[in-house]
Amino acid sequence: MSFGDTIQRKLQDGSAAKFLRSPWTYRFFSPLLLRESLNTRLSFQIARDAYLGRKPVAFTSLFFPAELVYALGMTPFPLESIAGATSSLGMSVSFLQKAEEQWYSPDLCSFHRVGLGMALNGLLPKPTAVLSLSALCDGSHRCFANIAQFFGVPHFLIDVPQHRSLESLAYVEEQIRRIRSELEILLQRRVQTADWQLVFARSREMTDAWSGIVELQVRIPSAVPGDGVMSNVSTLYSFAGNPWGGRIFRQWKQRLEGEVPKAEKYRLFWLHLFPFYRNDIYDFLESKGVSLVGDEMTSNPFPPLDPAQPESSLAAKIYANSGIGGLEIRLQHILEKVRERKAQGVIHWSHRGCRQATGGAYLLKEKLRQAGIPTLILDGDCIDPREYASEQLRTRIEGFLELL
Amino acid sequence: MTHIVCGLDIGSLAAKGVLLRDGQFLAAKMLLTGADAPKSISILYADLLREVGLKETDIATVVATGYGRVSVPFADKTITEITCHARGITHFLPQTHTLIDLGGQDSKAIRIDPGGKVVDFVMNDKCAAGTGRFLEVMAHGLNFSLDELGEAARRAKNIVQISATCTVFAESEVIGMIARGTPRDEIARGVMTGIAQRVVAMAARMGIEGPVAMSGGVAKNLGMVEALERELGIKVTLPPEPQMIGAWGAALMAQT
Repeated sequence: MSFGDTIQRKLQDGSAAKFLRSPWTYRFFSPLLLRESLNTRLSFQIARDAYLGRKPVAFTSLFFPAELVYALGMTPFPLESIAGATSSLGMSVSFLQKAEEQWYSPDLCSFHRVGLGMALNGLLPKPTAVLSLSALCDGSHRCFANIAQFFGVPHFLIDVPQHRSLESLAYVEEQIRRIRSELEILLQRRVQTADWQLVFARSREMTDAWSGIVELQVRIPSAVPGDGVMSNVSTLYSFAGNPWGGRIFRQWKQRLEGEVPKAEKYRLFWLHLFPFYRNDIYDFLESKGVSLVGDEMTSNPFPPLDPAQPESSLAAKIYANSGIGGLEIRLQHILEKVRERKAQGVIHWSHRGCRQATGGAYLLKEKLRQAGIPTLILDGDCIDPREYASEQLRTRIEGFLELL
Repeated sequence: MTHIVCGLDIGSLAAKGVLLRDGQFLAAKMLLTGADAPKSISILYADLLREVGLKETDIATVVATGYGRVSVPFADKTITEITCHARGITHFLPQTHTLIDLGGQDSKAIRIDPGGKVVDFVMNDKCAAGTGRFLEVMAHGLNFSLDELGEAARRAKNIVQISATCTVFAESEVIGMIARGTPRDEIARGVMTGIAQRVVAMAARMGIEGPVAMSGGVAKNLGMVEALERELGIKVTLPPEPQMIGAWGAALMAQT
């Protein structure tokens, strides 16, 4: 049985907390890992370092610059990505219920409710610090502050102004510098130039390898399966700077190159997020000849990172995300990618908890319509499978394809 | 040689079928879908054929639409109700630019270009308010039949606000109003207005452009049609037999 399957079983029988904290777990599974995918090995390593306390743990939000975490010798534990993983394992509902039992509103984003539910269930490792970014999600930092309080550890927030300017960039840069300095004191470890060099080189190696996947996505019909397109946001952002990223994407590309291209009737570009739980959207799209040629989140540019100016590099990387700033920046990014990848239309998955994305969805749709790009907005939840209505979604998707 | 085609619209409440011979109307049938959709489909198809003395082998093409479209094993093709309703309405009312279809379990607004092609559509989201099922529940709460509900709404001199957007909450609100002595006609008008406001707000997301037509079973309720007209501020045109428009569209698609 694989590590992932075993965690799933342990979550079901309520013994996951003990399983994840036992050194025997990692001794037993370590030799078996050679047979597993690099992604699983990365997850294993993170779980081992975090639950056995081998390294100081930083709970992070999705777009917090993970390079800073790795440079400080910490293990990033991205709560939103972990929520995604529990959802894909079919375990999110119990954590959502746990959070709701403790008076967290069902209107709160399910990514964060799962994090809170896991904390309440004693399933999270003890963090050294909680690090979050006010972008893209401006509601998350309150949850992260809550979780920091729950564990009695400091919460560091990078406040990212929506207004793009040199002052905003300098403001973010200064905050990164201050957080670095405070964490250095907390951890009693100074980040050296060599640390930045190593971490930035790994980050660059990963994004370079990712561009190879994108090239396949654009060139070969359905080269990358739908769920494959969707599952890389956290690898690209939450684990940027880890030693495995480049290899993970190169190995994946090699495997994809060997697959037979499928028939392509439609080329679509995906906007915002995607459901993590088991669903039939991707199979349905594939059965209709839809080739997903990319998504909004993983198609942001990754600017060069300079070890001589680490804080300003990371500030620039944060602002390279088209989700920061006005809707016109997001629109510009989407238009550029849709045209570059020759997509015929876009699907916007409106995650219920993401006010910042869903609030502008219809305005975005109207602007895309004016540019000749049809848009389908699908309302749903990324984490909570109880919100998923297969037939309703199929009708909308099929109707949209007929329209194309 | 004649060319006979069939369009079947399998909705959540009613299953509808239309037969066309060389593009001309031949027969139409409707029955309640019930819990056993495959059985209802078989009965509907057999009834249709029997009425005009045809055999299955006489039918050149069958197109199925509606939520139960995948449950029609003998369909040559399945097409969504979005496309079929647009096709059906442009057959009867070719000037239509916006179609509002209020069916048993969903409500949708469809923008149609002058050539009859779907340009855009929006549908209700995980809420029954604005659908036939909602009206049924409200009629039950008011002790009206569906027809009586519409007539009551038309008679009402005043209107009460139904603030709830959830079917279950709205029903309890209606019951509370009855208990407080609010005239049933006014409540009926409040229900219709509430639905119309939701539907118009939904349709406005894709832009409403006249002429506006209406299809689906709810369109048979004149109280609802008038409520929609009041909220839209323009006249809503009705095709003959609005509940059959999806099946008509499917049959027309089967011809091509």
